[in-house]
Amino acid sequence: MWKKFELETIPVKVDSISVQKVRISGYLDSSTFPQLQELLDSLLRQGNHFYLLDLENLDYISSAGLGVLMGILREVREKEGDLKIVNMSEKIERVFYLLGFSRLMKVYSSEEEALQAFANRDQERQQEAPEDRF
Amino acid sequence: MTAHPTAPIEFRIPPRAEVLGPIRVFVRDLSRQLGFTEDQADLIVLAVDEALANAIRHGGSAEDSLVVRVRSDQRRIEVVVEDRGREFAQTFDQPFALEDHLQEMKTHGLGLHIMKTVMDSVVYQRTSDHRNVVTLVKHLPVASAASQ
Repeated sequence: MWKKFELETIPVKVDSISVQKVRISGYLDSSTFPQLQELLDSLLRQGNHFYLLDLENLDYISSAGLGVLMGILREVREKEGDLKIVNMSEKIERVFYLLGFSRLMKVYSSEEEALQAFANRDQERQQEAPEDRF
Repeated sequence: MTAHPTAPIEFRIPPRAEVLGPIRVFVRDLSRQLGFTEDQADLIVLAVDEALANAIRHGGSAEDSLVVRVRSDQRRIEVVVEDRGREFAQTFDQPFALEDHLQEMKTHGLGLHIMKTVMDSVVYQRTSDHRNVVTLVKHLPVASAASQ
């Protein structure tokens, strides 16, 4: 049998960045992708541009699901945000590699590592930002 | 060695995405029984899912059933997906530019590429009675087929 499709959002603060951790469980296909699209659109409208997708319980992804991930990645990069992925199963990883998505989206093996990468990015940005002298 | 074909198994299904789950389970189980590895079976399921999702999306009115026909023997699995939608554009036979797709971060258009990448053969026919027929074939690797 196939698992129920479920989404869970957990806000996480990393230094000055608000990261939306989104857990995706079950089958992400042409019947379920609108739910993920709707959630991410809603989070984007609220001004969230940093996402950590936890795919530990994602059992299946088709091109419809990959299209949603591509769309959100494009949107957050346009707004200088970022999207990272954690806990990807071998099954999903094979699809990512087959289609070249692993070159676009950074995949981390632990949440700590992914959150640290957000923190490093934040520190780099602050170091690069012009000094406010006046 | 003679391959022993099984009788084709035919499903007539409504064009709704909810039907994808049961078809996936059937195709996966059959692929495993034929001798495909877990990984190969997962990818065959993905390719068939893409063909079906495309038929559901573009395959005509809500009243038109889709037909899925599965044939197999000791050497291969063949899945035929039929719908009554509009004729496919000529892009079906054109090569897919994956690099451009990734660079432009396109959100659509990967399905056909998945089918062609995973399966050994993907053939499209438009019939005289206005059906779209997509035939996907995957052969067992020689060693697996020989041990059957």
